[in-house]
Amino acid sequence: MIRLIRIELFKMSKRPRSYLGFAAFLVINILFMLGLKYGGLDREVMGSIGNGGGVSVIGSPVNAEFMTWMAGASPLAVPILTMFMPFFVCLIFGEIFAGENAEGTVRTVLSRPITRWEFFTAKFAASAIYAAGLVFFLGISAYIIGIIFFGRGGLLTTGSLDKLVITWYGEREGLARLALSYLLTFMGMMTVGMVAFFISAWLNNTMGAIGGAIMLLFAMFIVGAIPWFKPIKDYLFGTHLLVGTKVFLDPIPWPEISTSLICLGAYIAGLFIISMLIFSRKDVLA
Amino acid sequence: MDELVVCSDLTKRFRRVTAVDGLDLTVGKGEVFGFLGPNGAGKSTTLRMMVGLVRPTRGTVKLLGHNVWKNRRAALKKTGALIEEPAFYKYLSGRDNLRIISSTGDGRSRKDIDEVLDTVGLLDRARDKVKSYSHGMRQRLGIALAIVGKPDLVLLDEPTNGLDPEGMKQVRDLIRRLSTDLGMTVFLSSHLLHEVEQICTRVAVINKGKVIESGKVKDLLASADSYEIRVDSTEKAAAAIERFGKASVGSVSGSRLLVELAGADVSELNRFLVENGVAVSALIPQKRSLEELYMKLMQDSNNGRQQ
Repeated sequence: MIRLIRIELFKMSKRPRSYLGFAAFLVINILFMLGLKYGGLDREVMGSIGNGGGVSVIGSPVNAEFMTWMAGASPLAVPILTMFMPFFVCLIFGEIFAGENAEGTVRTVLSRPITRWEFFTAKFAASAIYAAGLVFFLGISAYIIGIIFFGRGGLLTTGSLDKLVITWYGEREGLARLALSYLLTFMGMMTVGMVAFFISAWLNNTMGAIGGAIMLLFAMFIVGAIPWFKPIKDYLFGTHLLVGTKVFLDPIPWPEISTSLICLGAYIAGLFIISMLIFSRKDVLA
Repeated sequence: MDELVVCSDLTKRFRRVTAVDGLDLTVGKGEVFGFLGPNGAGKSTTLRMMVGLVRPTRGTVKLLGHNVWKNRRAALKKTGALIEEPAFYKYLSGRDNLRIISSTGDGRSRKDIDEVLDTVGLLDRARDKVKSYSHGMRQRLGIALAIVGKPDLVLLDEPTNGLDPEGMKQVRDLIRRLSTDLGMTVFLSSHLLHEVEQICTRVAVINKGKVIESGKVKDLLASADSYEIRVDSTEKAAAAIERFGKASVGSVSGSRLLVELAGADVSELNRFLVENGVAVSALIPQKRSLEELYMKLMQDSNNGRQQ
């Protein structure tokens, strides 16, 4: 199995599209950095924190951890977390079966002594590694760029997206919360990716898989925002996509996070099982 | 184990269409087996079922004694296959393609891979990306993938498709060598009759999903119902044959008649001719080409008759 996963990762590494997300996040991080360093963005940010929270900030807490929080866990990161990252994840997850089917390589590989279960699981594992790589690249690159331009230090946050509380954490605790936040973001991205994965295994259509997953995500955001659908809101994965931002509250709302993790985990497991059943039973006619 | 391929009652239906219908087939060790049929006869569907790409509606396939759907790994471990047009990762080199695809089995050393690339004449292009390969080169790479690791059984689906005449000859020679030098059993699906006649020891002809004829090539071609008859008087013989009713005269040359039997045994005709005063000095079965046999089989099959 390890060999099969390595093969899948090798194939991904040879496709330019695999690097699109990484390149985009690097550019975004550099733009953040330039804005903070030379555009006076740090003063504006600090000013808004001060005005909104009634606190005064002495000096600048803009540092590596603040950069990392801004890039993937702050209100500024919402477009990244709800649009860019799901898109780049779906680009890989949606292509994983459909692309091979379109090129006929699934026929070549499945004519070899490999079971469909092994082939499927290797693709799932490689996709998961890719999603983790993409999510943590966003954070790690922001942290490294932050160290280079602003140095290290503790973390100043505004709590979560739906509960604004200005909080200061020491460097180690800030780093731990950032790691946890990105880990939870990975779970959210895996869930969106699994929708594309499922459509890819089912319909053998790359564009359908990418578009379908993103459309479903947006539909969930819309449905979740309509009060009439409140009873089902907690069951929609879109509701839990930004669970990573909750770890900046003090104390950490573990029951809420657990509920989100159970929901996302159920989606991932359910989509994995259904996709596997579909893939193992379908005729390879490409 | 004497039988490397055993298909029993193999059937595949796609909704209302029956692509393969109760196919029974065996291929013995060391054979070069030709699987003939027109486009849409069910050849590729059969091959896909043989390697587990398509699930049979009914029946079983055993390769090397193992059921493909129950013990896939064992069935395909020593089986190489090229199913239809070879498909590769175009963004990878020929060598990388062979390396990663063959490593889904036992994994192959670079030496093994370079050996098969050399065998199919692609070693000097091994580092080039497959997207730069011509159709013929991809076909040869597909054959290389099928034979990497020296499998016991090689399944080839139209391996000479897209090759130029020289390439076709090279592949034919290669298939012969797989059998004679390397002791591999080859299952060759093709609609190129000349190719099959030259390479194969045994054939099965399939039409509309059913095997309509099978046997050793030598026997099938010899058992054609066409005879050259040498007689004392061709005029007397022709008149007698007309009265006989279950044969027709094709051509006459000197003391020879070319006679086509229609449902009668040659000994029956011989007796009739002698009883009618024709002195028969020889009855020589006429060897027809595989193409002639195939065309007749297809005509009979499409007219609803089976031999």
